[in-house]
Amino acid sequence: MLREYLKITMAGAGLFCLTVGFNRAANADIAACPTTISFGLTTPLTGGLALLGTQARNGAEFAVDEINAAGGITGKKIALATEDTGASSTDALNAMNRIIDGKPLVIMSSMISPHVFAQTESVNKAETPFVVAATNAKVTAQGSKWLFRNHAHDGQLADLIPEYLVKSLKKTKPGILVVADDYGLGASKGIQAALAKLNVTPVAMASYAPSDKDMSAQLLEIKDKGADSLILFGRPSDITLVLKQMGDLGIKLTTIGNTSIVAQTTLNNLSAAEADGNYAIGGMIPQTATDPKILDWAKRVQDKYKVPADNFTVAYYDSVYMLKSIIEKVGCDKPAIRDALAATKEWKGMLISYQADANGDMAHTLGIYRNKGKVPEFIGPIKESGF
Amino acid sequence: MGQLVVNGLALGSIYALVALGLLLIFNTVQIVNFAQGQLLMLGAFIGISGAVKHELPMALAWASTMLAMALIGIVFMVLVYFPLRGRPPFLVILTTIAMGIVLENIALILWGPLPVSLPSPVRGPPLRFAGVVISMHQLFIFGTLAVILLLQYLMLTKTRFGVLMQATAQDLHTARLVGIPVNRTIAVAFALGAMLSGVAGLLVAPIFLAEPTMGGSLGLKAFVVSVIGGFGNLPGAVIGGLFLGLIETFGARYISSNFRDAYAFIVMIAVLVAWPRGLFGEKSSEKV
Amino acid sequence: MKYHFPLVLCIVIALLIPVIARDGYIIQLLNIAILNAIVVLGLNFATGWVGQINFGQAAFYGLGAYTTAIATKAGLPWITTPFLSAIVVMAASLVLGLPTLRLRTYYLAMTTIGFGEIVRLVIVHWEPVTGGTSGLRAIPGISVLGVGPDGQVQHYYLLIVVLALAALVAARIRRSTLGRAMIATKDSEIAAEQSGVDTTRTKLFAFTIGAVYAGIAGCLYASSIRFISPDSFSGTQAILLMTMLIVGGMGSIPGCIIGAVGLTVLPEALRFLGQWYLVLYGFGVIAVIVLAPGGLASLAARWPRWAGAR
Repeated sequence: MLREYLKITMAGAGLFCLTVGFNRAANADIAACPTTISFGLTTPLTGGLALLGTQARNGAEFAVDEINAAGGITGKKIALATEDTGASSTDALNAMNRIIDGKPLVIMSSMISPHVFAQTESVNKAETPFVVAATNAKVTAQGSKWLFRNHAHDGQLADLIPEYLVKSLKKTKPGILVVADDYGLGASKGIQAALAKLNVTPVAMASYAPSDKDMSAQLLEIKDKGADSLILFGRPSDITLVLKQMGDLGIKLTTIGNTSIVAQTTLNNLSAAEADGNYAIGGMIPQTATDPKILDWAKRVQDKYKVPADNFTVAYYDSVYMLKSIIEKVGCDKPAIRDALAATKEWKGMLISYQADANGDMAHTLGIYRNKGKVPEFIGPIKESGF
Repeated sequence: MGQLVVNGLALGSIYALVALGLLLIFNTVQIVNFAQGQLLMLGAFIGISGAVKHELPMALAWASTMLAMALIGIVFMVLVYFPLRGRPPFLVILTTIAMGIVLENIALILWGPLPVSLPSPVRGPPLRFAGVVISMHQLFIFGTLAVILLLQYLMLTKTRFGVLMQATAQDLHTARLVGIPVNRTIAVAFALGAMLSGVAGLLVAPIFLAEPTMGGSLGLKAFVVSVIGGFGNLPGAVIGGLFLGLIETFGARYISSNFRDAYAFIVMIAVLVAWPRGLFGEKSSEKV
Repeated sequence: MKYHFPLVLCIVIALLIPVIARDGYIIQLLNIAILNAIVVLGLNFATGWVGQINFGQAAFYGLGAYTTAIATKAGLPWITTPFLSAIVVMAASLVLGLPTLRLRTYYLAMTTIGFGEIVRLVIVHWEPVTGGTSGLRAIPGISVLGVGPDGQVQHYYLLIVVLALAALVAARIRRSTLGRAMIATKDSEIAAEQSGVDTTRTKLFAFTIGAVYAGIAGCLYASSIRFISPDSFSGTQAILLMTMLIVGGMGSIPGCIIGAVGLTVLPEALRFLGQWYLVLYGFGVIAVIVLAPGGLASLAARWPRWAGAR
């Protein structure tokens, strides 16, 4: 009698275990998401870098608001916590620590490389997927498996700009002029190395402090040393001055540089003559798209934030949507999200497709632009070699 | 090389103008206003507000900016000078720096960080000769500096008011005892000092564009210029300004553009080491 | 000691904070505040006690940090770095101090600003050594004979000890002949000279000691935050250090600490104000200077039982 009872009990227990086991296995495919999915973002919103930093917030926030208005991710709304890093890296680290305290599912940071360098170790320790646009080539060489970059970086620009200048524009005596901060100086080094590989030596290498207003000495040096072209790397406010002063001094050089040359904020302050004919290679901007939906998007972003959208706005907008599609597939599990990011292949964003390489770089397609008067024209896409 | 001279002098003229405004205030009340650069910035933005936003004719825009700057100068005096009378100098320095921070951030809130341009009051193609280009605006800058120097000289030496200012500068208490309307004189000094920076702002905006942080670096150079020329010494400041403009431009061209800002400080330190009272000597001696 | 009770209370609270506030953000922030306090204590020697305005303190802070970072990344054992940093900043302070001793207030202000700018430019452009604008990362941590603090909380306790030592040394100097000479020089240089004070040497001492404080704080900054870049030691930071000293209370040791902790924590706490924070900060500094030139410490001193060291 007892033996019968035992057999039935054991069978029942076994059946129970199997059922529970099966349920467990089924749910393990999609980790349950909490009622609000929390994203964290640190970016400069005040201080000298705010002009750039706010684009990260604009793009991410616009996407989050759109997604939430359409019902959220699998019915759960996204909560975007934004912290202002200010201009200093110490403040950026503090901002990141604040974000990490809120235990977000995913963290984004800005395009300012010194800040991201300061923050990476903390994010590694928090074992959270980390999406940044920081453009210094070495950002993805830090060996962090959690860090992914959603935008073109200086390493690519350093290779592609000289190549285009020498091979397509057929200029062999460039002068280099960059803004003396991490962005410009980092690019300058890479550009010199790439030029060396093409057997081209720049006739002059000059820089200017971010707050400088008079770049005529540098421009005259480049002209005096016999340059036939100018490679220019800076931010819209200073690029505007450089191009104006080139016009004032009557210096005519084929000019190519980063997307500040075709940025709306630059073109707004230049005359058609000053802007005309200059080339830019960089992350794609929305203003030259032929798709009216993209142009409408750019207009709506500008209406909301009073500042024209740029290549970074697009990158962050795309990133939020990319994360949405990943979370829909693998749920709210940080390692799974990280693995999915690492496996990104041909994910179609607004202007380019993203593909993750071994270092975590996801953007490998850039755009070539040329100003026709005050309006930038899209010449075509250019891909990093090997993609 | 001639081009470097022209551009250096144009830049130097701006420095000189800001220094003149700085020294007008200093000569009267012994305060170095570390927010002088931010006053330049305000002048630029008010000018843009008038000329671009409200589409006033240029002369009217300039005139209204001058008036606004005079008022701002007096407000500045009330906020900074009166509360700090008699306090040790470096508390005053800190206060004016703090005012500068306040003005800069209010400007950022009001006008945003994007640079805006102001059309030049003068139009026309640039002069070209001997491989050198001089724009109409650069000529206008030189001209304005010359006119202001003349006006300032005339005012200080020939008008009753100028004499009152000199008396107030030499000894405030005695001036008051003798019946000189000291407060009014000081108010005018602040108003004029602010107006001079405002003019500098109006001159700068067409070539360098206006954005709220433009004042910091220009203000700093003005102080350097004042030190080089000798604090309080007006002609010294002008010569110092032109000199600095040339040094920066030539240094950036022939030595290294990376250290452009450093040249100003290196020259200043070198001058101070050799002549602790500046190249041309101070105007008023500091109290012991 | 007449301020026994409040001092003990503060120490107890300070020691208990990591127990109450476990999160890394607050501890990290306090660590930075403590380091700032050490720098401001240093600034107090030359500015608070001798009355020499000094906008170069951030540069000394940076020189200390970079010396340590470069040394440890080059493989030198950590124990050498406080000494190396101290030597480098001492040399720099002599370079800055000797020529400027004759200068008056406004000239001195400009010269120290210039010094700070030149140091920053060198750091930015000497990229192979200093990492340029990207800064230096993965700086090895504090390690003596293989043992070192691990994690924010342990660093916090270590830094508290260093701050306490720094404050004690400062208090001793204040009570010594040198300290009295400093105050005398500030009040009236001519009178001090007449009384036999070598004002030149006094000024130089104050300057150099202050620089060493900043240099050692820089060493600890590099070894605990483990990432440095030039923007943490800029002219803006120099002004901030000055305001910490003034708001906290010039010349007062507790004032230095109050000012440093207050103005490190305040911007973080008021981040929601956005751009308005800096406007309020500027007005706040002006208000303190106009209404309470002795800083917050002088307000605290109005309660006789709670008087701070003077």
